[in-house]
Order: sequence, then C-alpha cells, then structure tokens
Amino acid sequence: MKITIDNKEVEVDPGTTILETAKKAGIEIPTFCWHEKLDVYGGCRLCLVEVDDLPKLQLACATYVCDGMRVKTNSPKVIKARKGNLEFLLINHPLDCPTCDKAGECELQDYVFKYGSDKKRFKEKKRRFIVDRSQTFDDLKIGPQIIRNQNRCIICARCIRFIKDIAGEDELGDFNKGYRSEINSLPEIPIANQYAGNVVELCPVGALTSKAFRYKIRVWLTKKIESVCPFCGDGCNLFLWVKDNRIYRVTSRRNDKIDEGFLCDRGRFGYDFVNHPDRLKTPLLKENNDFIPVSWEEAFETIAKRFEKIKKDYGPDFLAGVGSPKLANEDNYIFQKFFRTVIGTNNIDHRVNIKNPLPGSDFKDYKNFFGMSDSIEDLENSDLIFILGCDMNLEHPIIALRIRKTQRKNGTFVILANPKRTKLKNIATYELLYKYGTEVAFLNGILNQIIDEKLYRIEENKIRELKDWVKEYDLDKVSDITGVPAEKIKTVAKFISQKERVIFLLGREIILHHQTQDVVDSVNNLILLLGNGRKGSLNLLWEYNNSCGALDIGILPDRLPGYLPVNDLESKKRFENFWKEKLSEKPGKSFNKMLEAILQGSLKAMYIMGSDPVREFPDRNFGLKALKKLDFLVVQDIFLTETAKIADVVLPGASFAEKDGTFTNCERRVQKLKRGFKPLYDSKADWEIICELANYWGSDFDYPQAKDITSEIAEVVPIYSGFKCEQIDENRKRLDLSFEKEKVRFKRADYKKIPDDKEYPFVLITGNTYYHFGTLTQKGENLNSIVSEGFCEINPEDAKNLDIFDGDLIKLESLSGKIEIKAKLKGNIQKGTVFVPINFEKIRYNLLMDKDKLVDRVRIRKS
Amino acid sequence: MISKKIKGRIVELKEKFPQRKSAILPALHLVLKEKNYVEKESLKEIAGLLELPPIEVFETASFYTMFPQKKVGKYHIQVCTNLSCSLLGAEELVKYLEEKLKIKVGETTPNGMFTLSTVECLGSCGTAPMMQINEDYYENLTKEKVDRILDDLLKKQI
Ligand code: SF4
Ligand code: SF4
Ligand code: FES
Ligand code: FES
Repeated sequence: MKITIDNKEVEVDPGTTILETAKKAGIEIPTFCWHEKLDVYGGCRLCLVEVDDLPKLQLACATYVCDGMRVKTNSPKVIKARKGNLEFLLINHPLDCPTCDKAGECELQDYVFKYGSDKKRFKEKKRRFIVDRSQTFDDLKIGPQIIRNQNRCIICARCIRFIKDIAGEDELGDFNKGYRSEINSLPEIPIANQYAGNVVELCPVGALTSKAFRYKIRVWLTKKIESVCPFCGDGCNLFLWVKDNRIYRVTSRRNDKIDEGFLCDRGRFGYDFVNHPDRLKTPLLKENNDFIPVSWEEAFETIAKRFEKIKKDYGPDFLAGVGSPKLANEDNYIFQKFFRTVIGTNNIDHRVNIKNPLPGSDFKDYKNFFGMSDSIEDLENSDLIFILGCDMNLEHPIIALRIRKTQRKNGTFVILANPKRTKLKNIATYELLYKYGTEVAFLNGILNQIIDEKLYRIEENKIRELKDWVKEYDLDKVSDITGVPAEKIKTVAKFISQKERVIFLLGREIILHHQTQDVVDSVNNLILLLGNGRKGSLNLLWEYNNSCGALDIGILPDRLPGYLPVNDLESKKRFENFWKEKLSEKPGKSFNKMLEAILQGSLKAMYIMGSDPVREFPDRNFGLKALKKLDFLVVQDIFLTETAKIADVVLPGASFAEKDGTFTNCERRVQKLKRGFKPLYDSKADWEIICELANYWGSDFDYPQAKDITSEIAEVVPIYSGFKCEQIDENRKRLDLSFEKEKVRFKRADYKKIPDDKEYPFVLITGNTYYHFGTLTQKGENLNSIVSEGFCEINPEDAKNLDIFDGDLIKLESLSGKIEIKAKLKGNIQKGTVFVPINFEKIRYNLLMDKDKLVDRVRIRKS
Repeated sequence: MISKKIKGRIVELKEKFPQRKSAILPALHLVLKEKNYVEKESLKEIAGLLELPPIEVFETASFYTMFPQKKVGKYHIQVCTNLSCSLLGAEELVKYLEEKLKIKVGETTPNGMFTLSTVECLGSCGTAPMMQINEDYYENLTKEKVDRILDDLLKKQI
C-alpha cells in the first residue's frame, strides 16, 4: 500500500499503523503510552495526527493505514493538539525535576522541551497524592524495590500492561478515575514478581523508581557501558551505569533475539556484589593457617615453585585446573591453554556441581549437550513447547517470559513435566508431576503409548527395536513408578503426536541427573518416533552465563577447544602448531574423578578459578576431605569463598564489570561485554593473571588485551571461527554447529530404579530460589533486601504429619550430614520431597548429599 | 461480609458470562443493594467467589463512584464536578452543601442521613449543574432548588 506521510511516499503492508509507517519514513511522532513490546493502548493521545478527509485527529498508534492515505504529522492542528495535551499533563504535574531520578532521561521532559508550550495558564492548586503528611516527597513503596510517586504519573499504563500482559501477574492496577486515577498495588499483594524492576525502565516519567538507584546520582554523570548479565544462561544484554569505579544501576540493552528489552530482577538489581567491601583486594598467602597479603610477584613465585616441584617429582598429571562456567571465554581459554601447554596435562574441568559428568568416551554424544539447538526466538515458531525437569522461571526467567509471550500471541501449547509444580502452570495445557528422577520411565511410557496406538509416522520396520525396548513400560507400570496418572500419560502421548513442531526444553534437573544420557536419548527417541515431516528438537538449557562457552572452549578433560578430542592426532597437531608446544593425548580427569584421585594420592595440586566446589560439589564431606588433602591449592576468585578459605594461595580476580571479553549464552550466542572500570583494588582480570603466571614461568603468553585472545579463539577454535571481536555485536549470530550433524538413531535407555529408603523418606531437590542465582547474588544488598534467607520448602500435608508449621526451624538429616533450616509450607512441592536452595552460604545443602547416591534423601526432625 | 444469599447469586453470575471478569459489575451491584456500600472485605470476597485476582475487583469498584467503600448515609448526594457542571457552578454548590450539611466532601452527617460526594460526569451535561441522590437525578440546580430537595427528603423521613 502507498501512504503519503508529510509529503513522503511510503510503501507498507496492510495492518500497519500510522505510527509504524511514520517510523519507517523516519518521521518522529511523540508517544507516551505506546511501547513496541506492549499491546496498543491508545490512552495518552499524544500521538494525534491529521488524516486527509477525516474531520478529527486520529491516533497514530492505533489507526491502521489504508491505501492512498494522506497523513500530516506536523500540521498546525496537530501541533496545537500536542501542545494542548502536554499542557494538560503538566496541570497537576509537580515539576519536581530537580529531585527526580528520571530527570535527564524523562520522556515528559523531552517532549515538553520539544513540543510543549513555555506558557502556563493554570493557576489552581495542584492535585497531590499525599502518602505521609510528614514527608516532603509522596513516595510510596509498592514493592520491595519499587517506589511510586503518583504525582508524576501520566497514566500511560505501560507499567500495568507489562505486569498484567507480559509478566502475567496481578499485582498492579489502575484505581479510581479521571484526574484521581492512580497506579497502585494492594498492600497485601505488593509488586514483587521476578520481573518487577522492568516497570521502572518502562515508566516514561519518574513515577516509578527503584530503591536501589534512587537519590544516588544524576544519570548524566554516569557512563553507560555495554555488558551482559553475569548470572543465568539466558545472557540478557545490559548497560552498566558506572562512575568512579562503581556500578550505580543496570538497565536493559534491548536485544530482540534474547531479552526484548526486559530483564529479570536478579540481573537488574544483583550487580552490587561487584562493589562489595568483602572483595579480595590483594593476593593472599597462607602461613600458619592465616592469610597474609602478599605482592603478585610473591604469589606467582610461590605458585610456580610449588607447581614446578610437583610436576618434577610426580609428573604433570598430578596437577589439575578447574575453570568456571561463570567466567568469560577469554579467561577459560587462557586457563586451559596454560594447563595444556605450560603444565602439560588434560586434567581440566568446570563441572563442579555434577556428581558424574558424562564420560568422554562416546564423543559423538556431546552434540546433544552443546546447549540449545533452537534459538530463543525459535520458540515463537513452535506448536508445542515441552518442558522437562526445568523450573523455567527460576532457571531461565527470560526464556520463561518468551514462552509466556508465544503462548499469549501464537497460542503455542505448553506441557510441563516436572518433579514440582512450577510457575508456568497457569499457561500450561498439561502439567505432569512425576517423582523426582523417574523421567526415563515416564518418557518410555509415552514412547510405548505412541507405538501402541500407532500414533507415529515413521515406517513400521524402523521401530522394531525401539518397540521391543519400551514394551515393558506399560501405562500401569509407568504410572506406578512415576506417580503420573495413566490417563494423563495417554492423553499427553496423543497430544504430542498431533503437533507438528515440538521443542523440548530440558533443564537443571536433567543436567544434574544420574541418567542424563538416558533422558536425552529417550527424548531423541521420541523426536525420531514422531518423525516424518514433523520437526522436534532437543534443547538442553545450561545454567550459567557462560556454561556453553566453558564447554566450547575446552574446559573439559577430554576435549580440546571446539570439542576436538584430545586423543585425536589431527586435532592435537592442530593445536600443537598453534600453541607451539607439545600436548598430552591422554584424556584428563573430570572434577569428580580429580577428587577421587586426590584421595588415592595421584593428584597433588590444583588451581581453581572462579568456582567454589566446597559449596557446589554435591557431596560436601567428600569434596572437603579431598581438597584438604591436596599438597597445594590455588584459588582465584573475587571473594574469599569457602574453597578459597582452604587454599594455600588466593588470587583476587576481577568481576564481569571490570574486564572485556565474551560470554556464550545457553542458545550459543557469543556476546561481548565491555570493561566498566579497571579491576578494583589490586585485582586483575582472570585471563591476565594466568598470562602473567605463565610468563613468570618463562612462557610467552603475549596478549596485551582481551580482544587478542578473542581473535585467537576465532582463529583456533573451529566452531568460533570467523568471529571477529569487532563484529560480535553487529551480527549477534549464534554459533553454527551444523558441522556436527549426523544421523541420530534410536538408543536404548532404561529406567534405573531409585532405591527406597524408609529411614530417609524425603527426596532432596535443590535449585535456585527467587531473586538469587548461583553463589554470587547473596553478596549484594539489593537482592538480599528482597530475599535474605533460604527455606526448606515442604508439602503442607507432609508438614502436618510431622507437626511442622511455617517458619519452624527444622533439621534435615541424611547419612552424610545434617543442616538446620527454616521450613516453608508450599503446595507446589510434591509429597515426599523437599526443596532446598543453593544460593546461601549458610545453608550447606551439599552436606546432605552423597556423590554415590543416585538421588539424595533426607529425613526431617523438628529442632 | 456478604450474606449467604448474595454469595449464592454471585456464584451463579460466574457462569453467565464468557469471561468471569464481566461478572464483577453485577456482583458489585448485588452487594451494594444489600448494604449500600461495598467495603474492602466484600471486594475480596467477590474476587474469591468469581475466582479473579483481587486487584481486578478493586480496580473496577474504584472506577465507579457508585460503589462507596465506606458506609454512606441514607441519602448519598453525588454532585457532578466534571466540566459542564463546573462551568455552571458545581463547585459553588459543593461548597454550599458542605456549609449547609456541616460536613466535608466524603463525610456523612452525624445523624446518618446524608453523605456528600463529588463524582465525574453523569451524562447529564445538558441539564448542568446536577447531582444524583441514591438512584435519582436532580438537574438544573440552584442553591434554592437544593434547599427544597433536601427539605423534601427530610420531610419524607418524618
Ligand atoms: S507509573 Fe509510569 S508507567 Fe505507570 S502509568 Fe504512571 S507514568 Fe505510566
Ligand atoms: S539472570 Fe538471566 S534472565 Fe535474569 S537478567 Fe540475567 S540473563 Fe537475564
Ligand atoms: S501513543 Fe497513541 S495514544 Fe498514547
Ligand atoms: S459534566 Fe456534569 S453531567 Fe456531564
């Protein structure tokens, strides 16, 4: 269609609004209530334009164009209306810009400046929403982080539309009417959902501000740094607003491929660990059980001497390095290069929270573990999203938001299969609650059912084997094992087979599962069985900001960067040529094997960078025992972690805000983060420390800047090839792993029975809690002020039988140990299970865990 | 607290509309008829009965001035103070009523007879200024007319 707008001709598709057409033509029309990511509202009337042949002005945001339409956005009539509207908005506006946090980036300020009038005709007293007469400011706390000043509100309803439509919560509303309208929440239901902070950014004026940022600094005094969230695997894009080595706030750096301009509150408010006073300030050396601050020189000297000696006395394989899924690719790359070339061992891993990381023998299977095979955007093109073993809102908040979106906009179906009830329940078509750890039986039950009812489209003769494998998983048996009603399995089997494009999302529970490989194989079987034309895909959602990167970059005992096998001669040669150093072709030990080796005396020294296995390894006693037995332990971190406390040398690394580098998110998108300020105190970027250590040793790790490492990664690591540091931001491409494409075949996967235990009747489930992630967030006050304490979540019926009330202090005991923790009664926890969060140093959940148990169990005692 | 009988009727309403949200207004009316105001507790109860988030009911109830959240007098005087009425002296009238009844807007006379409120446009701009007392409109008001109306109401009492 051809539209003429301010004498410019534009071609647009039917269904385009005048506003969109104007944007296309590069013409600005001022708007308040309109927001690209929210539904059209048509409430502020600022966007009025003149349309030929129509007597009245029209809303540009809500009027669709028709062929031949002639629009004027700047006629005298429009200008007058705009001026009038802005004048109305200012009648009651307090004009308290000098003390308003939004000043400098306020849309009202900007529009009045640009389109408004400089005269004021109203002399009446301004309406004021008084919260507390003794206060000068009418600030009302409507949520733990959100402060409302109603006087400044222009009732654009962006905040409400976000909370209701996008986040799907019922915490914010529009009360009263006319000039008395106000945005508010009910005192007993404050706005405290995990996405609440977005309203501060969406609010065009200073009506909604955050407790963390308000009254601290004028925005124009800060510098805006492009960064990436350091917490979950979603990899939302951020701006850090910094001044004088301090982060003042975090806002979204909209990336439509990932976050669409939204953040979860962990990412938005969790930044203050960076400037925490407990940060490590200098290298520390342990002497007589005390740490004394030393210079970098001294620290390097000690490390080099001790490592050298152990290497000489026992051999390189008596040393090991532990990297981190939280650090940047550059850090990890240099780390593994250091261990492979300078030390000469493949004892490298980063999977410290997994009991039994998948063995490296069958490398073809790594493919399924690379991360997501679909992109986050792809979720919008599916018919069915099948979530397995993943509390999406806790593990991947922004993916959860995208699932909500596609359900709302495209009617995408959602199936939840989890050991506990999760938040997405309210949009799910089916929810299947199975007993923890019984996924394989559950999936085989579905497979058997599909075969039984001939719901597959694949040729008969191709499934003979599979049929045989799963035939024992009849409905009754599966229902008995999993606790899912037989009828439900039947319905779901049918439902899945009616869908054309199914995306499976597997979460934390599957990654930490005792049968990870089998679960993945079963899902693959299901995808193959549906077959023929139907497209199913498997996505393993890795947890951390750079889990995928750590895997890609070869922080693995059996794979070089790019998943090239260490014992493959050609791959080895490739890296030997690049690094000019001989490499060992002997696969190294995974982290759990390293611990065993220590106790057997075949591992003497370890270098742990950015991980805290004492807190994370799923068997605290065993982990501690092993690590304490080391002759020499180096820990590099930003805090004196529990692991650092038992180290011989502690080195202060820099946080994500203090270094350049790249993270690879869970959908394998490589993203650049920029340094906001130089490393605090006497700390250094992690890669820098390793380089200096290597050079101290006499090697030549010549990387003046992080981007030199990025370039080397692009050159050396096959799947990263072609990634030019400068271009990462522009193309924002995902890594292409098509080179790995191979034929997937049916694989047998059998359910391993989880033994019952009358003594310890409760299954222990661990995970993240709202507002916290991993081990870092509890260091920040912002999130702690919302949630400062972890609880053991327990089913109300179980609690009743044990005579436990909400908030009671209880003891959880297992054969390995016991912890004290407060109870919280929650209906979303299944009977016979308890949930304990991993985010609090005080809650030593892994004390209850045993590395040799398939599933951890506890009993509950009242304290 | 909403009576059992009304509760039953509210639950019936739930089925009558394709969207439960639509049942909020009729439910509010039912409660209002019963006791002349709809306080917070009742709003929450309505939400519970209709299985809606409380905020939906609060938003709706607060939008309409005819659902006072505090007990009102026998006669609820609602003076329109929107544009047309204000241009023709509504504010004067409000002041006059405040003086006459010796209460402020939002208050009830000690004898529980009159409550004074100001409301938005009641769609009777052609006969501005105007007010609504309980369910009836009184139009083209002057001070004298207001005197007469109130006197009549009081007389009706005796
Ligand atoms: S608080 Fe802000 S976002 Fe919400 S309606 Fe008011 S101006 Fe709009
Ligand atoms: S924690 Fe995850 S979802 Fe939240 S802002 Fe960070 S990357 Fe995004
Ligand atoms: S932007 Fe069009 S009405 Fe608000
Ligand atoms: S302005 Fe008073 S009735 Fe319309």
